[in-house]
Amino acid sequence: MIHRILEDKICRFCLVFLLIFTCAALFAPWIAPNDPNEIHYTARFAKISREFPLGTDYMGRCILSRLLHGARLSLGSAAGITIVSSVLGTLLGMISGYVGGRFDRVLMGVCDAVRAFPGMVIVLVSVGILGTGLLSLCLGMMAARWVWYTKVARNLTRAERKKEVVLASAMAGSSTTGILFGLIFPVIRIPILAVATLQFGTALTALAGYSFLGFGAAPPSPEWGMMIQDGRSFISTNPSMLFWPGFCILMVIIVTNILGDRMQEMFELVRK
Amino acid sequence: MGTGMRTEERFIKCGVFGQIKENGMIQKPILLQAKGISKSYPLAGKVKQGRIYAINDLSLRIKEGECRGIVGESGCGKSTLLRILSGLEEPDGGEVLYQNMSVFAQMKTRRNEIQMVFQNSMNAVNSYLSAEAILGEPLKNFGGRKWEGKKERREKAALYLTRVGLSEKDLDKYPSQFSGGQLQRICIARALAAEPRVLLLDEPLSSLDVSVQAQIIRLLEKLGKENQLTQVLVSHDLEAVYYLSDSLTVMYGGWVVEEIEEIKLFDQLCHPYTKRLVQASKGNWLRLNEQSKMVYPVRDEDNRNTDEFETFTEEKFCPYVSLCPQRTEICRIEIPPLAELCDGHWVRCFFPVLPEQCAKIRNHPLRIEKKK
Amino acid sequence: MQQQKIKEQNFKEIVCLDKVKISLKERKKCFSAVHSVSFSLFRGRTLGIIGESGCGKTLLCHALLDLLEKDKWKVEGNVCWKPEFSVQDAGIIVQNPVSAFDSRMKISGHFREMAGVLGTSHRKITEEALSLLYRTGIREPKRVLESYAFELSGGMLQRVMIALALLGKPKLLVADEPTTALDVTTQWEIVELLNELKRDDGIGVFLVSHDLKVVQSMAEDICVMYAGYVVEQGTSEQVLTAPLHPYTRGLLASRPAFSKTLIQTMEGCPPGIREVPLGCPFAPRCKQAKAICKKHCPPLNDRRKENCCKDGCMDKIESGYEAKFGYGYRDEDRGKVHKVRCFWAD
Repeated sequence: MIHRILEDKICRFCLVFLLIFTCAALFAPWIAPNDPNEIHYTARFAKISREFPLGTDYMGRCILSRLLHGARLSLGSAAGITIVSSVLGTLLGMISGYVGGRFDRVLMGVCDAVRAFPGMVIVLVSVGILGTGLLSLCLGMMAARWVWYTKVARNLTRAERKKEVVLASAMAGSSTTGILFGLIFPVIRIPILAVATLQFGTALTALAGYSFLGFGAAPPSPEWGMMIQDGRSFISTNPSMLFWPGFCILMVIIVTNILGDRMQEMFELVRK
Repeated sequence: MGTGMRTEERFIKCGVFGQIKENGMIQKPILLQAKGISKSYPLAGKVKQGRIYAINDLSLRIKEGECRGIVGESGCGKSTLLRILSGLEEPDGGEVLYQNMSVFAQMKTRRNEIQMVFQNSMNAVNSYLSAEAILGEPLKNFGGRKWEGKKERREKAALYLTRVGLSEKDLDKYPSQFSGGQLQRICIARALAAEPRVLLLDEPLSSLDVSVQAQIIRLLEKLGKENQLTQVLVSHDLEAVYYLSDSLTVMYGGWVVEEIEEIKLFDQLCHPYTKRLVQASKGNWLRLNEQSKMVYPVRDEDNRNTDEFETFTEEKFCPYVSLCPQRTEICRIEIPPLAELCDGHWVRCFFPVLPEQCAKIRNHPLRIEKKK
Repeated sequence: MQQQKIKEQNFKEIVCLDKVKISLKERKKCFSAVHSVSFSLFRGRTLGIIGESGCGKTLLCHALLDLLEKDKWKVEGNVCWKPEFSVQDAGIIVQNPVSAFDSRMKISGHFREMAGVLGTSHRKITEEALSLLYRTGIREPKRVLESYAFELSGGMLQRVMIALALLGKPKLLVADEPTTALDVTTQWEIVELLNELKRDDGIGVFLVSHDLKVVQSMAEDICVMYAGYVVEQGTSEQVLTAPLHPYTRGLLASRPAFSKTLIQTMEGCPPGIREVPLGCPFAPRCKQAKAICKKHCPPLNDRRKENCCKDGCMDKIESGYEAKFGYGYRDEDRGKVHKVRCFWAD
């Protein structure tokens, strides 16, 4: 299944694109031409030049450097949220789907309850208790997001559990963990991956949104949402301050959405 | 003596006045036993809320070393029965005893003793594993210390492969490289590798070609004899079941409608459904030999298809009433009990067409009409 | 009078297959899936094809109805419909009735869809559907029309499928494993129904099945196929009571037939489409196979003709008889010709 994704042209393009972004984020300190927080009073609102490839903002900070360093924060925390919530949610979902019974009913009740709240409420509660900051924001978002994976994993596991392979493996004395990871996980990992890819995009937007509102990173840090917030005041005079971080967010989301949809489609095809 | 007691219990279960059997026909000990089990599933997606009664008050005694055949149409509860017998599922009511202890509790520690072969071998193996790994699974899990080494496990797996008629070379092949018949052999080998005492076979032939079916039939026959295996063969293929089994249970709509404890009583089968089944499986051959018109209970006109709209509620009437040519009023009101006609021949019908050979008629509840 | 009319219509040749060859096109190679099959189909008569999976019987059905994908399969030879008939006169019944119906559509919807193809008006179609459903033995046709496919049992759906096929007033029914997915008792009913249609309406049936009993109870003429070759061809009595080909014999002996006597088995399994051996396709499993069987494929010959097995005469045989006895060219020949593809058949 994985190799099919790699063979598909669209998927390959998307993955390469994401890889470039990831590399840029990882190697930001070495790639970035300037210090992201260094203020150049002489060069406020500088045009595109060799020194400042994408210009500078209202405090004379290099936009490209800020974008690169911001990618570490934005993409990193979005990835962190996605990974933690998907691992947790999938595990719970698989166990719930396989074991069934009362545990399943209780867990599904909890899931429905969590889903009944808008994600924002949960984030606000988390930020309210732990104080503003990127970490508490991420924790709140994780708490709101794991339920999606749980539902998907649970339903797929339930469908898989009745299959003869699983029964036969149980007959051959394999333990529950062996069956879950040896037989069921290989089947459900692709749809889970698809959900995770889509969720990564939404996590990125949500993160930027919360930062924009001021729940996230503290001011000097170059988080993308913060950058948009900074650029908001200069939208008519200097739109490039707003444009670049917005463009980056847009591109990442489009790419992840295409990738996620494509993977889901492929899974449906295989299932048929 | 023990068997006598159980017989009595069974009479009571069936609602027939009990009588202890003086000279029990059964010499072999009973290995696997179902006592009045029932199982139902919630019915989803229909307007009416209800449950499907997959198995109703089913009692079964499987003796050590015998091959028990179970026949019936699709949806008559055969597969559910096997899953319950194997301890994978728990019945709603009643219990399954393996060596006089509950099977469900024992299967955590003695899983290897009851093994199952599934209908479609393609679905029953993990297609990412080689034959060696497939056979290695039970060896690793049940062998304890004995087959710890990889090399010894491989040797052992090869041994089982040769026993089911494949060669050692096939160990490194993957499921997609085998044909259906070969894969079914591998499934049988996997079940054997656990060294079971009871082998449950869920339609092992139905996904195979005719010529390959014959090979598997022969294989099962050979294995049963060699290993003193107790087999339970579920199938809709009466011909194959007759060939392989020592005793026969006929199911319809979740009920046992007829049971013979020895296959030689086969000619005496007398439940209307069984008769129909036997004739449908056999009948076509008659025509070729240009024998006279077939004796075949045709469904009467009005009732030809009532079964299709059957509602699966808790039935308070004979399961076969809608298609039975001999039904009367009582069949609609009461469920006939499973009564013993002669030694080891049980029928669930008020008006069975009695076979002539049947000398003793015991305890049959009511209204036996002698028909010629 | 009417009786006579039916009789006249009966046994008219509908379609004749003349050395039809089907091969699977792949990038580099072509694999032959069906080798030079010739037979004719008549009104009011059944031709049964017996064979195991992968012997090309379903392909033959599709080739007959012109349903094969052109870019995947290559069809050689002729499917000649006789002047008064055409492909439109054929209906098809497929193996698994449950998956053949769209579960989102009511049964009446399927009839309407069919009506759209045939160009009949909607009101008319309901009446027709009701009468056809009744005809196929459904006693509550209205209720059936208003239900969805998943609400009906397999046997019922198979009846509905037959009714659907009858909507186009076919002269020929192509039944591709019509009973395989059904219960034994229901199988019997469907066979009876098909027999009834054949008798009363003079519909010709092309029956494909692996079930000897079903073929036996329906077919007058039988072809036994193995790995794409017709290995034996003759009337039902000839093939089933006095089989000549070792494969047919093996098939007949491999059913227990309600006795406890040891059944005979053939070792091995039928070859897939890509691994059909050179020479006689059955040679690897045949107990009587000799060296020549592995080198040359025996021709499909009449039993009475001497089967020559010396290497020298091979060419003569190849060009000789095969074409001559294309089955069913003349009705008088029926019953006289019993063809078999084996060097050693006696």
